[in-house]
Amino acid sequence: MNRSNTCAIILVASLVVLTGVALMISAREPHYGGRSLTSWLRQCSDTPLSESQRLEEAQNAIRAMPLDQVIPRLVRLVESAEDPVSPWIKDTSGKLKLDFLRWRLADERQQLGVAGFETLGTNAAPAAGALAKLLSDPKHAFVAVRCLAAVGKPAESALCQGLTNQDWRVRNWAVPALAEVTDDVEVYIARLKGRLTDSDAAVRFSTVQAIGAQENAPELAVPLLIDKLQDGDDGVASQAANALSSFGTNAMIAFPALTNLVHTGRQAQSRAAMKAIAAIAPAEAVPVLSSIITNGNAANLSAALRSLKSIAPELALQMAIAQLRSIEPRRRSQAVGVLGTYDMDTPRIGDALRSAATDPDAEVSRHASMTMKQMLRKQNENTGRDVQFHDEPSYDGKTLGEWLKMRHDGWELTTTAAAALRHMGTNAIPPLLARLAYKEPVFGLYDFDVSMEAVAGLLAMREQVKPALPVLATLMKSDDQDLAVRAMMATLGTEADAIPYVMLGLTNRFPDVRNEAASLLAGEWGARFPEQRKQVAPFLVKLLNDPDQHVRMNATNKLKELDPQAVIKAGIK
Amino acid sequence: MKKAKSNSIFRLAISVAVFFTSLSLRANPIELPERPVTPEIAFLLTTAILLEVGCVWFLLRRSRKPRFFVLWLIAMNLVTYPAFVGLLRLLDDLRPSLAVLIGEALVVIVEGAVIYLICRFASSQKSELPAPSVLKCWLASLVGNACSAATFPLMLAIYERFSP
Repeated sequence: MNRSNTCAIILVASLVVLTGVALMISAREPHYGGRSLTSWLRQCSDTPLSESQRLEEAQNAIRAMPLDQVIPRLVRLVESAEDPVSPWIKDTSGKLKLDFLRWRLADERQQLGVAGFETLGTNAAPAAGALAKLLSDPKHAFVAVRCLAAVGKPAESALCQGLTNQDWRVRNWAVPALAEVTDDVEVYIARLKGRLTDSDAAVRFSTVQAIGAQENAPELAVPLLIDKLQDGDDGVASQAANALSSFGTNAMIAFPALTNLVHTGRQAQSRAAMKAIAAIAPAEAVPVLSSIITNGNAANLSAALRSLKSIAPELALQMAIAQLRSIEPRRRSQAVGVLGTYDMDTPRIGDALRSAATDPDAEVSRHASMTMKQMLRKQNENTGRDVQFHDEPSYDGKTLGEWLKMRHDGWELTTTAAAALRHMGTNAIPPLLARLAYKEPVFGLYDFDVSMEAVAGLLAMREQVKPALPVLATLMKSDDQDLAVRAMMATLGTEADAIPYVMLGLTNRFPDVRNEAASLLAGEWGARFPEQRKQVAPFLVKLLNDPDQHVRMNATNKLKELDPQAVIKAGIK
Repeated sequence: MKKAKSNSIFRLAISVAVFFTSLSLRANPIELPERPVTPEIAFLLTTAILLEVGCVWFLLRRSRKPRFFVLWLIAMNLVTYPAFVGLLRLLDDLRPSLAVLIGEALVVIVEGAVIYLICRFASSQKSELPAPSVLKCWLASLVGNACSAATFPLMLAIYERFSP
């Protein structure tokens, strides 16, 4: 054999080996639309439920492939086991940023199998036997039960086996999965009974949940749930009480047990029981809950008031307001929380919360202030409340309020609206100032939205706002930091005339106002008025000794930009 | 011009008023620099190629070879390494260890064949040494690749230990 023949043989042999490997790899699994099963499974597994079209495309492709080829492949994926080298290879690829290598480890390949079985549903019935065998393998039992749940009815007996599996996750998964495949409620409850005494609380919880969902069989479910009220785990006992409440009056026999739990149970149990008695027997629950509110533990007050509110809202309101006079701050604070669940227009709520905001206990007072703000915000979001001001000027058939609503995405007025305000001239200033300092009537809080609309209006009027500058200066001295900032900002439209007022901000009582005034004067805005800005440096030097740390830090930075020599003189590095 | 200026004041004032009335933002984001991987990849590739080349050269030291045999081998590796990575991309449906095993096996076969061809066609005809057999070339390729693959984790650890 001559040299060239030998070389040709070697080359051909290498190419044959290469082609053989390529063919072997591509022939391992079925294809659809030019893509392999694995590729479709990846799409199915990686696509979020929200992208329904892409998900459906992958699912249809998987269903279109021959089942006798797809199922064995899916079973092999589920059977995937990890070797010691693969995680290291994946980890190293990641470290070296070889992200185009989309390695999947055993658990990820198992997920592909699960995605496949979920897609095929009962069509994957032939796999039930193979999957059932995996239940006895601790490394594969959990993924197997997930696949069996997807297979559904044909896997019923395997799912029953899963109820007694050594892995709690398998038992936990089998409980709701069996509900899908068991036709008779009596049989279902009988199958599940044993799991009510499972050693794992999570399994007992899901069993109670599953039994609680059988609302059409109260005679079977309610007695079992009553027993679980005494479960050692709070979550399970509370879930039993919640489940009983879903039976309504059909769970009347549970009332004594629940009442007992209200008084003697642990905190979580008591709370759930209070909710349950209100749902099961409202009339009988009122005196029980009232007694808890008046004489019970402070820890249960909120739950009792909320449960009472669900059946007797007026009485609950009265009792919550009465609790604001309790000597215990914790009870007052809990009452505030419950009052916050009412509509803010409910009579007496405003007065009660305003009074709580002046509570001697700082925590109660803070809670009340926060609650009022939240209620106001919620009300504005829900109703899109439009505050009406009388005797406002109009232009071109629209009132000031209507022009102020004409904005871009944020607060900036449209060009037409800004021009309309300037046409109104000084007539618009008093109502804009009134809006800036507007307090809503229920809680007496400054209304952020109305106030911000006024800031937008005043800025749009530019130099026409000059006559209002003294009033804005007064508002900068108000007892509300937010209003002070907004008032200062409203001066900016007057350009250089605003400088003295912004400088006034440097000595404001609120740190955020001082901070912002410093930023404005030393920043881009102040740079437009170089002559006036010369006076700023001494004020900034004073801020270097400000009591607020953030103001000091900001002043240092701004002064470094504005007058580095002044910083050195002040002894700051 | 005037309009643009007013708009900028407006936006500044509004954004400040909105942010400051809710809370003071004093965020100080920290940038986490990412470690560049290019030097690490360069180190690993260079070491792996030199090791493989060294092994092949050693095993074929008593066979007929072209001048600058080492350079021939380096050039060959500059082609086969990217091809190997490309092959891994094609095989990434498989478990990583199996894909790497198949990839390495193919590299051994192809490199062995190429070494054989280099020794046959590019070497000096005047050399008195015998030309290597194809089996010997494959053996050299196998040993060279095994050495570089086996020392890869070690090199990685060394780089991580001594890299700044």
